[in-house]
Amino acid sequence: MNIFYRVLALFSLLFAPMLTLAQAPRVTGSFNGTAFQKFVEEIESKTSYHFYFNPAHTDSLTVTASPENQALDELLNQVLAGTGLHHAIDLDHNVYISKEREILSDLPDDFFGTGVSTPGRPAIAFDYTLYEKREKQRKLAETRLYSIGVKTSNLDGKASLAGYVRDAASGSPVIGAAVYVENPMIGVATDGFGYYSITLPKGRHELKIQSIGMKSTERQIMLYSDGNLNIELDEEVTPLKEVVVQSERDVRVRGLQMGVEKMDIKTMKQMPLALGETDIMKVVLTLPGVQTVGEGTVGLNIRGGATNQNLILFNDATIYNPSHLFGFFSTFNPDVLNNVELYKSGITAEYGGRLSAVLDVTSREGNLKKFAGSGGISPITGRLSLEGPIIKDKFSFLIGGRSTYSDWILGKLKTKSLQNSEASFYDLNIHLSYKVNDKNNVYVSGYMSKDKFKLNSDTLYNYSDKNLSLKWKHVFNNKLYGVLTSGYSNYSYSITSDINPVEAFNMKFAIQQTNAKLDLSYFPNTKHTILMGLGTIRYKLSPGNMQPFGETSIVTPDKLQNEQALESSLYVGDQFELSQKLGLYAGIRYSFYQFLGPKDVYTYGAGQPRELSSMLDTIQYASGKTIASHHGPEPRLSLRYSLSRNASVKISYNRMRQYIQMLSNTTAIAPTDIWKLSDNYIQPQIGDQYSFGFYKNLKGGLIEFSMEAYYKTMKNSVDFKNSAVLLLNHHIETDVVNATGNAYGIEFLLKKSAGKLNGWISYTYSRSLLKTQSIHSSETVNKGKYYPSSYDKPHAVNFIGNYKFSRRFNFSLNTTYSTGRPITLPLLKYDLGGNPRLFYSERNQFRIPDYFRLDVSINVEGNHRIKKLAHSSWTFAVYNLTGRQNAYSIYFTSKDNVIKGYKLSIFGRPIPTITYNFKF
Amino acid sequence: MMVTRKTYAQIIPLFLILLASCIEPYSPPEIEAIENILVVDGFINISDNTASVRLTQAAALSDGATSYAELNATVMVEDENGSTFFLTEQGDGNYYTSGTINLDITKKYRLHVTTTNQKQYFSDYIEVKATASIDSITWRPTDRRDGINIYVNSHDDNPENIYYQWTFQETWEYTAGNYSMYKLVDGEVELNTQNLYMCWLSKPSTEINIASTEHLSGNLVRDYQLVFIPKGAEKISRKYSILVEQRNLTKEAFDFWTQLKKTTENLGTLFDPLPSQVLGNLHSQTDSNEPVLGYFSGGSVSKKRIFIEIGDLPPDLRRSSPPPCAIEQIPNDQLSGSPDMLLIGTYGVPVVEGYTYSTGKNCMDCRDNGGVTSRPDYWD
Repeated sequence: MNIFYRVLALFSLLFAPMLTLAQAPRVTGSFNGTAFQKFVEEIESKTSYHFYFNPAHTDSLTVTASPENQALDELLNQVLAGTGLHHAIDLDHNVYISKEREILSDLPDDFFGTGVSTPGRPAIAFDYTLYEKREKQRKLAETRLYSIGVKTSNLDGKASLAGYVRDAASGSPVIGAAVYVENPMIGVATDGFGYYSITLPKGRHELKIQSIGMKSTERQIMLYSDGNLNIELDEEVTPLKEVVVQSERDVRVRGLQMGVEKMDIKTMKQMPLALGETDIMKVVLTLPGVQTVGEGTVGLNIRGGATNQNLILFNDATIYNPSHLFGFFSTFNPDVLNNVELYKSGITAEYGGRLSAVLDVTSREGNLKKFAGSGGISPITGRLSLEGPIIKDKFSFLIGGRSTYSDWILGKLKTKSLQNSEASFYDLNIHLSYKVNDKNNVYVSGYMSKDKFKLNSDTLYNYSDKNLSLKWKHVFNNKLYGVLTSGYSNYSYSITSDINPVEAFNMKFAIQQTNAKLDLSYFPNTKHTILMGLGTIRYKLSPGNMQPFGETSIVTPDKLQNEQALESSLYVGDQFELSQKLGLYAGIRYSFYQFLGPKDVYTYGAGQPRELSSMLDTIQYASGKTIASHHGPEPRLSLRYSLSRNASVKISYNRMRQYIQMLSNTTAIAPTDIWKLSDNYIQPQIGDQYSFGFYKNLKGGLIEFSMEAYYKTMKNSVDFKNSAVLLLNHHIETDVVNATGNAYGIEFLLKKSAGKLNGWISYTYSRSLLKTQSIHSSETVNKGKYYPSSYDKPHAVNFIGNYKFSRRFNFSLNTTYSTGRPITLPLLKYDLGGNPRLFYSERNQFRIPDYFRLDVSINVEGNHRIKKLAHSSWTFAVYNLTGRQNAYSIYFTSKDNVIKGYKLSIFGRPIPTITYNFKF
Repeated sequence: MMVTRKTYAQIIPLFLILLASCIEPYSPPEIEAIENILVVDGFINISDNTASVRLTQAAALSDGATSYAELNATVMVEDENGSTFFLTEQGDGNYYTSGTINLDITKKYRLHVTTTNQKQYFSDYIEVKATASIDSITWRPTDRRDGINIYVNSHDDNPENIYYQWTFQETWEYTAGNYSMYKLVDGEVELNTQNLYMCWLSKPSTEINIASTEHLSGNLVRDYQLVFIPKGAEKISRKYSILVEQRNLTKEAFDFWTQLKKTTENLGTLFDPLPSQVLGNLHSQTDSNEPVLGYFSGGSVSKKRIFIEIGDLPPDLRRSSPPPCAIEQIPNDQLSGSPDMLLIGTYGVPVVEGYTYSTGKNCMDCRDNGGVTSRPDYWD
């Protein structure tokens, strides 16, 4: 019944303003215990009022009053007082009686944006639930016509509209939301700040806004001239976590970018986990073209590149070691993350400094509206994060912390070297965002972590990461904004050994990076998006410092000279929509690098291999003096041609230069790996990638198919002579060899992103080969022939599936297969000094057994009532369901006169976990 | 400002996550046989003016033998001035100088091998290193008191001699579980006159023990750990001895042994170095691409021996009791049908009903554990 009245009311609301204002009649009469029905009839007969009410609500109500030329509104206030009934009278003299809630018979002030508001009417206090209220606001906002700019009758030409898209609940920016109009088809996506700028023909438009996990909305706009419109989006109220696969459906086909994968934290939280915590590095591994040398390591090998060839950014600060606890955890606390973008090819000009790929991780912004907290507990780690406004809608904070609280897990490890060991870590995140005004935003984000572990109870390893970034965003006008960023990264580790007091030592390594950059985004018109900027990075590296530890130690202090360098760059890139079908991105980055003194540099005999025996002289360079300089252009190009609305082809080319490299002669990233700046002997690495892609959407975008092929060449990669010494080496140039590499592959991806059954399947064929080039045999590996890199895994298949049985039961399955990585195996054994020893093959001539893993998880939700004390869900997951003992490594040892071969598996049996989540 | 508090807590894995790492034996794929590779293990000893070289061929991993002897080669040591000393084969690929040769510590020497198939091999010229004497061999209980560690201490007054290598031979005295007084021979009980109760077992070191004082301000080695003996081990059940030999290495030799250790001993961690071919200082004259394994070095050797008796150990580290032996009985009337065996003693009082014996390993014959019954001449 109520609905009936509401519909009626709404109907009349729509027409109400079109009616002319009539004088409200006043009421005179006498009622003494009159039934409400009778009262109504009486008034209707005497006046032009017409009542709408539900008789069931009023059947017991009687009226006792003697109005004398009284306003009906006033009379009804008396009559209905204490009954729980409300009334509303519209301009058409319709009277609505409602229970519990008042009917709004008027539109809000200035509903039609005429600039004229009805004065004098008091605001009505509504008693809607928050949800209904927001729904209402949304509907109002959607139906309202927004006038943008200065009103004019001249609607020729174009104007730009800009603003922020934010989450209505938390006020945090919505990144990657599509903002578009359909006729003509013009669209943009919000940037990392939730900012968009779109240039449209002047006039009336229906602006649509879509983003994953958020309710789509639209705005009616009348665009007169340049102006702003901020948009708030509501979160989609689906208590079931859905696997939302990457970004908007159309981006793959219609966007200009290729080789980009975006994932948000909601997607990542779906995947079955090994250690009870969402780990973005592990999730990224399920994407085509991403490999690792073994589970438990966080190093990513992207399209045949080495782990150090990835630029890992966390809120624009460079992360040098993305791992905790031997690599079982990544440095990123899932509670504070927002999203992750991985660029595998077609890297745009604003990124540089690494050869292979960019992994851009951004944290959330704190809730601008209210305080909130989240946390988690697992046997290994505990986490807590808090967020909220410091000044509501202007200034927010987000603080997250994570720590291990016990070492017991190590006792469970069967790896002998890990027994009697300890390991712990903690990390802290802080993020502040301050909206100074519409034109200026300031962001501060900091990260700090510390890891500590002891292997075999004699050597203590410590490493820590500290990052700070400051960002100031200034909007000059709708078409231009700039971001000034400065950042500081510090990665250091130390090794302390005190088992033998006489030889006790402490060895330290540190790298510091200070950078500043300015990025400008310019949107001259709908066809162009221009990004340009400049930046500089100062590196200071302390490659090794060994000091005696304790008073009894007689270790000689040994400190390698610090290295310092300056890397500067300039870039400009234009995204240009040539036509409906053809889009082009053309960019160029120019980087300059200087390796600076003070430093002593050794010289070697010309034409001789760099060895101790060929060392000639030492040249001393003064502070600030340039020892070596390198520079060069880095062109970036991509082209899209739309074959149809649902299919496109893209090609891209990019060149990258890298001036800092990690030196590691272990297969997995080790906490003791050192970094080395390019100098006069170690040339900067140069990589070129050519890629081609074909993209097709089927069934209206429900199913996406993509194919990408690439060919990559790498110059000046660093590889090592057999028996290289990397730590505390005063002349590291004698132990490294210069390698060239090439990598090629083809990736297929088929994805269904919605429906009861969703997920993706991918297949990748890829190769990654290296070759050392030198005329001196001592500087070659495998006699100068091409050999597979340690992460060359030709075949890889990934399947991620999600099936929703009902609103409350959800089943996920994750399957991974890949070829085993290359290893060097012993060919022969021989006897030396009475003990057997091994003679190994040439490098990487064999492979460990193929890798296969199947994980499942079931998610069970509590009931879906919106109002209840706590929302809970259970997740049952089994990692490595088949219990396959995947080889992490194969190794041979000679012990007690016998040679034995072993296979080490990290997760060699099914690992069940139960997770209980609740929220209130 | 309205403040609402929202707590989102996640209680992750109630079920214990047991990291399920495991190590299991691995047999490599069949690798096709590659050509014979010569292995040279040579040393010229200026302490006693001798040279010894062992020539072998590397064996496939699946072979039962570790190596095959390279026989009938022509082996000589040459000095820089062209003087040569011949070594002659004395079986199983071992080549020795006959008698003593006149070595000069100031000269450099190289090895020259010609195999029966006329291939020529040379070593680099090596420096002959004088070795300082060992300061001391010490031992002490571990901090966890689960055994004892034996250490070597040394120093060298020559600041150039900073690379040390130790090899050692452990010898220990131990007993069988029971003294066997009798033995059964052809169904007849006889008194056992042979000592099968007490044995001595010797074992050479199996790991590469090297140290460098490069990073130390003094050229001294303190407490380099050679051996760990767990509490209750047979090694220290009565008396134990270790003879340590020390050699001074050249830098090249030290690097060689370091690499060999890295690629054959310190493996199986999460961060293993990439194993690689470790080649020494020998080359084929005939084919420069042919790998030659092993090392040729020279110098003097210093030795030191210590003894540890069970009484020297703190009481908590002494062996409380030997492994138990199940005693069985054989009645007199079954003696004649039984095979020859050792017997411990008799049972039955006052009339001997039969004899006792044990079938457990090392229960009646200490040679079961690999030792010999002859007392070494340095044992006192």
